[in-house]
Amino acid sequence: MMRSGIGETFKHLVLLIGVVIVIAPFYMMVSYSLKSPSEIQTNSGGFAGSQQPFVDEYCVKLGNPETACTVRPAVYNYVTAFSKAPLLRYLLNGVVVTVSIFLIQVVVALPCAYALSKLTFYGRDVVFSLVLFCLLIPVHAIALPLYIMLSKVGLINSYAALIVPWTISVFGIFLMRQFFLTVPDELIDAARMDGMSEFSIVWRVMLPTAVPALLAFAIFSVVAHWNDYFWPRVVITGNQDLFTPPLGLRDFRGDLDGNDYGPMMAIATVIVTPLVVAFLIAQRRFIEGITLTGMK
Amino acid sequence: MATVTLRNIRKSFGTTEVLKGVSLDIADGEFVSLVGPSGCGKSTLLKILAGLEPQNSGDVAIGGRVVNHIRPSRRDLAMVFQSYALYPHLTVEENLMVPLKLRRLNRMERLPGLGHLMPGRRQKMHRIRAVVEETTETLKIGDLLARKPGQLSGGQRQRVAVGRAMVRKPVAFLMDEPLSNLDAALRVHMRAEIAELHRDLATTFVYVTHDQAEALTMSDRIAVMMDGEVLQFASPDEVYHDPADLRVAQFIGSPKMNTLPGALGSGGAVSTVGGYTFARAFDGPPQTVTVGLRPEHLAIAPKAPNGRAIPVTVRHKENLGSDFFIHANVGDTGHTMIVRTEPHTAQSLPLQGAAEIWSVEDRAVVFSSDNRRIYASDELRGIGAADLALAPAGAAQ
Amino acid sequence: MTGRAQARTVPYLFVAPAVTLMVVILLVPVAIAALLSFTDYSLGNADFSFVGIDNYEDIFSRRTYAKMIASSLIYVGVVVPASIGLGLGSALLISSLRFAQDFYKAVFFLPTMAALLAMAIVWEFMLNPTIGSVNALLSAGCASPFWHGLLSGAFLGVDPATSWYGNACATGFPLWLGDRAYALGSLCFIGVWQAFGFNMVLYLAGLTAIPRELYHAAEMDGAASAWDRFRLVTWPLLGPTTVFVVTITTIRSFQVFDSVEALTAGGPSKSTYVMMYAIYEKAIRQNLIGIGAAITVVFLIFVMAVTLIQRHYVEKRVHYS
Repeated sequence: MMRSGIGETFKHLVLLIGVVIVIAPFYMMVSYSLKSPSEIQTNSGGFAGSQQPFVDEYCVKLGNPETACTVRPAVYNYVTAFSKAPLLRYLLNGVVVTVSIFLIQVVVALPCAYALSKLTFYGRDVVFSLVLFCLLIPVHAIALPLYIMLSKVGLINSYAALIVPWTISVFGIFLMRQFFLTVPDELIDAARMDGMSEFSIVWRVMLPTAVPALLAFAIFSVVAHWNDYFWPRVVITGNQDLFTPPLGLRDFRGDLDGNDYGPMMAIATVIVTPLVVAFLIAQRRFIEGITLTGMK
Repeated sequence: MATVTLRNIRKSFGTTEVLKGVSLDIADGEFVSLVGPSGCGKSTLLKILAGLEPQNSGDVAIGGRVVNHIRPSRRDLAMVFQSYALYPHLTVEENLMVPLKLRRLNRMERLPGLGHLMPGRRQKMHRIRAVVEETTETLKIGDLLARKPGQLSGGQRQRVAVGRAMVRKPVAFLMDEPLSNLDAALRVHMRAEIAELHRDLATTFVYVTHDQAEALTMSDRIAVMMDGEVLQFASPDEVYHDPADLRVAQFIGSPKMNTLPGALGSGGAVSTVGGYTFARAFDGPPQTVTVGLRPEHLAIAPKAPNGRAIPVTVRHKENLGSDFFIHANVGDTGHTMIVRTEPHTAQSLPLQGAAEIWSVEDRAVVFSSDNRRIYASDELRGIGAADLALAPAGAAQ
Repeated sequence: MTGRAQARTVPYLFVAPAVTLMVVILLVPVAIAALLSFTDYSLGNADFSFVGIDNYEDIFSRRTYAKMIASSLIYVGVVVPASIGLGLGSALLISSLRFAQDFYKAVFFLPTMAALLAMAIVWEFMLNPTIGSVNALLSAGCASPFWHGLLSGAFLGVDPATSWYGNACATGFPLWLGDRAYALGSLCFIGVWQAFGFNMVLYLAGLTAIPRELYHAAEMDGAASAWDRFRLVTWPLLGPTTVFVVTITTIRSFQVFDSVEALTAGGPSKSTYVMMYAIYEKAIRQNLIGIGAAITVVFLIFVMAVTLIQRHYVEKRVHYS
């Protein structure tokens, strides 16, 4: 008993060191997003800073009186994040892109997965082999030819460029097929007896049964595309209105001056928070979704 | 080979007490079954005996040596698990070698790769192979050696699991529901094989099962457990014919023993629902009782020969070929009884028709309201009573 | 359309969109990349010519590309074993705990949820040689005899001046991302920081799938030490998980881009010039499509080889039942 108690304490000690290292950047990010420029420069002020109001010199340069330009650091950082950079626009873009990608992925994948698992037709094995082969190709890896194709049809710098390459989720097809294989044929036969068309079977019978798998896939897909930086970086060149959140952050960091570390960390915090909070609320579902790839 | 003694074992998980002071003395070479419904604590008791689970209090002794703080691996027991627990990545032969390698090779010799260079390893491995070969011959699994558990049938896996337990010749075998994952036919077959194995090895077996038929067919003695207690620890005959507790009577036997509410009157006369009064006298003060009647100790006919009978309505006739089980309602009391009878008698009983049931030779077991046994005045009590139960019950008729 | 004809065409209608997209978005680009890798094509130029295997020759002969392959392989070679080792280690530790399992699990998984770009920028800040907290913390340790003694190895009788920490205390701590010797290592650290929690979760799932009875059987068979039980049960039964974790971590590590682009831009002196960044810089920024396509092809070959090896393992060796 005594020995296992010491062992347990030691394990906690080791894991807590890990916790400190894992948490450190999150802690710093939030901390910097609350501090004044001078506190950031001198690494002082603890977690939340002193919140001593300071004079925003940029505001003064614009000809405003000093009293109007005196702000609390936390307020300054977050207000600047939303005003100097069109952060709201970035967030909106992020939502539009991730939601569109997910919806189109489902619309494309679900009927295909149903056909591959529950219908017999000539060439089914060929299609499935194609799916298995395409699983080998990561979209990021073929970014260059995709970029060339998109620029040939004039789609660079458009929502379409952000969305189109991701409309086909081979993994989604594979996953849904595996899931549908476990759905009893009797369910589909019963629906057919009731006079349902194959089309309505997909959307009114298979879709509802697949909700748990779809939810996991949704988390998988949304997390991947909300956080994706590489692809937006490739196809969005300069048009700020189309920036996704990571791209916006990168852009803000690009033209940084000394006062803007705080606002930059505020942007980072705003970008990271939605998924982290959603994760903390529904941990089990998220872990399920993100590790979905492990089902292969 | 060794005796196994459990002394006042207690175990709780959180606030639920699963073992409430269990004591058992198992003789050397004995085949003992722990039987009871699921959740009665029998598997926990076996794990405590094995050392896989610590008891809260009480002693475990093997061969007279208290082993409370001794690791499972040093208790010199072998166990066959319900799921067989074969190592899925190892072949049958490697599975069988594991216990020997872990015991006979030292740490250096077990190192992957490097271990092969150690002097003496070859000789030890040679001896290990010989033992494995001997075991596989006994169990007739010689042709499975190169396969992995995933490629074996349920029965084959079961044999390999037994083989892995046998190879190192433990002082006792522990078996945790080893047949419950097999189909019915195979289960009956394996019952015979395990009983035979026990005779050949002459080693102590402790066998956990929820199947009373398994316990009855294989054991020297049965410990019937319920709610963390041993209700009775006796030979199969005694447990069947002379149950010490109502719950034992109800658990052992298939179909179940009939139980009817009754009353013990002054002078020891017992009568049941349906108005049947036994001719034998029972020892006890007047009280309400439960009367247990085995289906094979009852008779049924349209009309009882001597008038003393329970009037019933025939509800269902179960044809087993050699016998019939007649299910009947006792008037409109809500009680049902099952009676075993000959096919020709069954044919004379129309469904929904009236019939009468009586006790052959007044063979009944009577229990007080706290489940304790109330003996008839002419009955021997406890150990040895089974012999009497087998004989005609005297001049009762 | 008659019912029967419909029954025959429906499956094709259902797979048509997916098949079309697979061909257009996945197969055609692979073909295009393969084709362009033999040309000197560039966007906006109408004419181009075939240059044979020149582009590939460049990749395997020029110093820049040798550095590219080397930094990609080093990155993968560090991040894969480290994040898998840490993932397995923490999974084993956590699964043996009596309480707070969910807490550690949630914390270690957090980096997987956060945008790598954002967190890389935060790390850059922390690794900043002047205002970063990492060097501030390290140099604070120099002043404390305890930490100095521990980290410099002086407690073990090592001469502080010969140890890395002791030396750094005397001459200053590295510039991390700005130092050729440390930049790739720093990126690897960020990569491991981000990836190990994901691996941990997969290992935890693998661990819960191991039947308890196997450990009991191992105990009865004489596996008295934790190491014996790990060797006999845990490690072999985690085989399928390990194969998967190795594959996915390898592919992801090959694709590292966010942290490189934002923090080092391949530098200093090409020490962090990984393949994805090379494709981006050469082909998309500098419009050298031919060489970019060739790198893409090499990259695809790497990734496909890894996946095919995984599939082989899944089907052959670690398939138990």
